[in-house]
Amino acid sequence: MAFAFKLAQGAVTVDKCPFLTDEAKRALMGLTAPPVAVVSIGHGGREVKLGGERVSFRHEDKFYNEPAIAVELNDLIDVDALETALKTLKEYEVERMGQTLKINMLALRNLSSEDDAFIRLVEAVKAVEYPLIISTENPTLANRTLDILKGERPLLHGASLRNITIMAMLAKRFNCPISIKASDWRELISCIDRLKGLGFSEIVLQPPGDTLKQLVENLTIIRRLAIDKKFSKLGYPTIVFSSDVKSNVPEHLTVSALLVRYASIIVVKPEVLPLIRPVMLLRQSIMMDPRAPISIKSGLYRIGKPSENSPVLLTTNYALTFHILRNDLENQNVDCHLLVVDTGGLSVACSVAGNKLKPDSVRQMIEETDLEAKVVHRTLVIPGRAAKLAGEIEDITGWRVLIGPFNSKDIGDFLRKHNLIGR
Amino acid sequence: MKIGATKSEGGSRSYSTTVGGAGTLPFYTFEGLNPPPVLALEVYDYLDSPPVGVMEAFGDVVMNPVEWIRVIDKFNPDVINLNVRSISPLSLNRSVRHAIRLLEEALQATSRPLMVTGIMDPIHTEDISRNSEFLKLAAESFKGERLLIGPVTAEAYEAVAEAALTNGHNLLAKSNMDVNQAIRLNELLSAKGFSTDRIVVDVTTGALGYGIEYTLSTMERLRLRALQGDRMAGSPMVFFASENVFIAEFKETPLNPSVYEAVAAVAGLMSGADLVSLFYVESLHMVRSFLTEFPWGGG
Repeated sequence: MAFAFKLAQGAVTVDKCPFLTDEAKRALMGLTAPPVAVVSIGHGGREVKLGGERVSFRHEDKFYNEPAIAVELNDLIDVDALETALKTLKEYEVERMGQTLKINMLALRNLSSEDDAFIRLVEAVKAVEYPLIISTENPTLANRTLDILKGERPLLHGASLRNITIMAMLAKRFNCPISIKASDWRELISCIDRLKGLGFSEIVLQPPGDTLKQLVENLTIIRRLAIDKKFSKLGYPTIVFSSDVKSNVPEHLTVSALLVRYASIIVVKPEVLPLIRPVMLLRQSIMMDPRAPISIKSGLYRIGKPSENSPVLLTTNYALTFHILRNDLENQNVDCHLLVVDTGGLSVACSVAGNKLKPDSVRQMIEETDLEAKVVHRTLVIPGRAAKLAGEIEDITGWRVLIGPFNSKDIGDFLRKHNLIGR
Repeated sequence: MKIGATKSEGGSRSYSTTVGGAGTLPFYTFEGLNPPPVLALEVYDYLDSPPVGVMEAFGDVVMNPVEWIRVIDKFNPDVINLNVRSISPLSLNRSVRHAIRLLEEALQATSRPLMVTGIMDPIHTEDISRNSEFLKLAAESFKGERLLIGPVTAEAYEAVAEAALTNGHNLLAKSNMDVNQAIRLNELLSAKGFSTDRIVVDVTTGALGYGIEYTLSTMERLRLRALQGDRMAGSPMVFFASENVFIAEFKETPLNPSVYEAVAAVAGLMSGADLVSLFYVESLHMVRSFLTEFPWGGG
């Protein structure tokens, strides 16, 4: 029964059931599998998972696997430039709200006519251990490359109707996911049919289209057909090379549009990296589960170097609330204690409106964190939006409650005005 | 809806701007074409927390709202959004008369359709009443100009709605990232005689990484409902991409804040924004080039 519930929620897959026959499993997996297939690239704990999507709009459920950002490197690049590019990748990582926002993969593009140039690129990149996309239309080169990367499961890109047979054979031999591109729908579906016939399930589609308009349209069509019309033929993750898009739009905006419109992998040139931060913030935002916002552990947090005289501020355990408040406090050089109560991950406004910010939780948290032994005063500053709970909190804790500002950007001024912090 | 009234219509604008009129989901161009979104540039009478790079971008002109309007006018925004937050008793506490005079000068400094916003987050009672007082007077003083004025909220809309109705203006209706709240406010305004095509819905814009996803989903849900026939969900929607230029966290990076603003604007547009309000001229250029990639029509 418990297993059945988990299955219905998508928390476990049918193949984990020890009692079903293989036939039954396959039948059931067809029914519960997400309309967009899951494709895994890479191995050994560094895999990137793509697809697995069940809805076109995040509010209908959530988005399951974040769009991957891949940086494109080609074999015409010189050794120094390559070294620099690889070194700077880590610089673009951002720690935020308990998550690491980062570049997910590298795409290696064969542009040179000299095969060994590509091999040198592959050898150099192999060391940095990013999941890879190998982009070449040269089957001999692909064979050599996949051999070097044996066991790594890179995504093989460059297959089309022209060379599908040999590329499929290579992908099969090395057990790699395969990406196909086509100039129109018929070609694309032909390729998909061929691959399915050969037993492939991990396929990535490069939608037809050269312009931003065409790509946005076709990405939308693929997702809509897969989800709404249950057209499993197109039920696969997608890939777009943003620098190949013919448009006059600054590339970071092209990437943003593709990101919100269902591209599973977006390959960008290294020049875009300085502008990638807002794109990664956008990605983090849309990937939030609408039903379960990120929460942090309740407890007592120290901001700066608080003493036993420093003010105590109350807030909720919604990660974003905590993050904003902490940033404002640190930027305004406030040393204080932050008392975080569990509201099920709801913001101040939501938890007050929904009665999830309970005065008794405040009392409990004061006790649990031994707060009364840590500060000599008994003043608690509560968020402006929690004003109506002031009386109850005072009664139940015995502390004096001060109603703070509505907006955390005013907190420094507020605390100084009330002489709770110096100067 | 139309913002701005030309001489023949009783106003002093050189053109009117049409906002809204979508009949298809945003950027589903294979299904149908929507009218092009409208872009506004903002001017503030007081910058309590100046955005990064504002002096480099604009210089001293930001100290003088009327001059600021003259400067941005040259860059062809469809609409100019004049914000008079200094009237907040919790801020500079300037008088409503002062703001009305400023609005008068603004109407002379540009012939573009105007959007006028008072106190955007009216929570304290003093802010609520000052905001309403200003908006009511603005509506009465500039009859016939067909301004877009706001915000009105469910807590404070009656007097402003009446004045806007009588004097031929449009309303910016603000609620807090909730589909039902947005619809409810439209119902309240409708009961006062305001049709949904004279309302622009503001579901409150969160910045990138600061709740933008709530805004995007609320907008998508509203647009889906409107297209499915729910009339009360059928108002044009506004997206304040400018929220991003005020975020302290973004000041830590060497990136120009217009980059954040433009990225957010694209996300807002793809979620159905009919009107996007921007701070930086650079963002306007970038967003325009983005919009040029797509076909528009209908309406």
